[in-house]
Amino acid sequence: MNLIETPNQLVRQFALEIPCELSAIRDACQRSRVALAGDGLAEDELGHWELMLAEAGNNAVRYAPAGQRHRTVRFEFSVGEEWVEARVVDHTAGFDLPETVELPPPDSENGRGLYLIKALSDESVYFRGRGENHLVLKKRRLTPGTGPAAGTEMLRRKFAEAETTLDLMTEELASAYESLATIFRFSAELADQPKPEEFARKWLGEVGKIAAADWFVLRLTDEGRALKLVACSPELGFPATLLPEPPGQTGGSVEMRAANFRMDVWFDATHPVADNDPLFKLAWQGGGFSHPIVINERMLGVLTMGRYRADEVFQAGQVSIIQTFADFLGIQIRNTQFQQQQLQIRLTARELEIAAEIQRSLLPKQLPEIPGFKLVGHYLSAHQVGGDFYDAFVTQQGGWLLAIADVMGKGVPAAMFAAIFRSQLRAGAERAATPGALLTWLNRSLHDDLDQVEMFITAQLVYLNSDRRSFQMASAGHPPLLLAAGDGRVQAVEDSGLPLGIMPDTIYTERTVALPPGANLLLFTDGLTEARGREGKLLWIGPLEKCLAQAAKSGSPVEATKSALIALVAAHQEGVSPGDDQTFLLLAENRPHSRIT
Amino acid sequence: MRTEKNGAVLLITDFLMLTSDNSRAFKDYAFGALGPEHKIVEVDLAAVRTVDSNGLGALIFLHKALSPSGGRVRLLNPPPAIAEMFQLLQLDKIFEIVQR
Repeated sequence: MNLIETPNQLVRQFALEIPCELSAIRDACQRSRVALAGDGLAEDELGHWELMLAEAGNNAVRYAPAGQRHRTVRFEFSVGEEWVEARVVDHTAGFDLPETVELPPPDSENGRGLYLIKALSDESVYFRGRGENHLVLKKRRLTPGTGPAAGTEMLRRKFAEAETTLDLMTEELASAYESLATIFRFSAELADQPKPEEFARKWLGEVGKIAAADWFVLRLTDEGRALKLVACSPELGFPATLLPEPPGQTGGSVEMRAANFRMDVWFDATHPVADNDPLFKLAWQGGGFSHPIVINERMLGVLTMGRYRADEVFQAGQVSIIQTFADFLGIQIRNTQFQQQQLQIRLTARELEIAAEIQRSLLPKQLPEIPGFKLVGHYLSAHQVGGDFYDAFVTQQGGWLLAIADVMGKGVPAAMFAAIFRSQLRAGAERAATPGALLTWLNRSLHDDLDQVEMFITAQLVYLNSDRRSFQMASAGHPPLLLAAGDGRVQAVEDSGLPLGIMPDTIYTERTVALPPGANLLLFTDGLTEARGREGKLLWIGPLEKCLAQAAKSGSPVEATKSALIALVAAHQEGVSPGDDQTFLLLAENRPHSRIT
Repeated sequence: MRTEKNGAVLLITDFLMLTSDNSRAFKDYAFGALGPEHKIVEVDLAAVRTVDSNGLGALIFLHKALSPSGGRVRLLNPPPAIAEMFQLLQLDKIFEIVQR
């Protein structure tokens, strides 16, 4: 049945069936484009269709579970004079296609596929079914097409579809009353039964009687995807665990096939269970079916019901009762799991707080005393756990190492990499004579781990030699540092290199800069320059330079300069919460004539 | 795929699509050619017929890796359909799009 019944004389229908592989999707999109071009679609329309099909097809491949990858992805087209409709058939767990899709933030690398589908199609609906799902896309043609008159054939097809639907509805209605009555009774009972498993054991026997089944077996999945026996007819004895079959392998037990393919698997004299199937002793000469219990895309378990005689098949109404009860049971189990998850979320929130504590503990509790200078740091996390980090310590060469870094991403993974970076920084500082050599070593050491999760770290290292009044600086994709002199002049010192984790063999170099009298040195992360006000305007580097120049010229104490910088950023944000961590290290030369403010 | 280096500009050109098929290869190729002197990466889209959301992800990754050090990505000569997609996704706010 077409998505929307509109006057649309059908020109032709065609379909492509393709392996569940990304390269096959690309090929199918191009073949579809050629086919639609043959139907007279304009170039712009062809581009839109190709893109929509690519996004839908990529999703069909990317989210197909391992056990379903042997099944094909299907593109079906109905080309009419006014409309084109495409149906992409996938075998994923399915998803809920929202009415509207929000555009992700501009710098997000993902999340635009569905937006494109919604934006380029005139109508889109996603139908989830057992075993397969249909994404139906419809788009009005820019110029009406023409083709062979197929009206009679279309009417015949629609009539046949309607007749089948009516048959199914009649059968469904017959069983609906009984199903509902049963569920109401179960619901009343459930209120006194806190554990769904106990509830299931008690009532499956009852459902078996209603559906005239001789036996039942209920297994629920555990974390390892094994199906664990929860309930069965009282006289049966089964192994408690049926291990999952290897991904992609067909065959196996009927229960595992139902679980892997997420569809009912029937067995009878024509399709007997294998002699090594755990159900063989029950089902070897009878019939029945295994029904997967799937709620909100989650595979919860499999209910199997059967009869000892193969010639006594379940009627549609009985099947409906069993399926309905199984799904109802699934909802109860899911609700219980949801309550447990809520508890877990609260526990996770607590864990995040602990992780945030760890993150704060990575920052030095006390910065080193540098003769003739004063060093202060500032860290403001945008989330519970951030990816910014700074450190300062004495090097083996007798100088001082100042380090600042920003791990791409936020949350626990970013904090974990910040922790790893800290330990590697301190380990590497003992062997590297220059900041460039240290960055080169850090990159080699961290590259594989960062690359695996497609993350990177920007970092800046400064080796300070206070005796010689100079410093060496090396940078891995980090913003420049600011150096202000006592006369108020400011320079942005940069030495660009790729962020850590991008290329394994990057060699980092350093540059040496003299410290002018009354020097103020500011190392910062881009959370400062990219702080946004209410209308989204960025702070940029200019106001920081001005603030630092003023502080250096007036000889402000370092704590006062720190407060001024924090106030500057806060004023720009106009009360808007920071979108990124804000971190800086500020070094200021002590001056005998410093004003106390 | 081919690169040309001209001072602070790295040009990536000669490719026909940027999709799930080659987005990872594109990233590796771009970063392999990128040197510390490069402040601007120009991606020539003149010959590109298809860009999908994975290809966009690769361009955004490049943008994110460059921007902390003041670098940026400039997209050259996108065909009308691709330029329209960048507008639709509001990516013209983070990429400089130039017709030459």
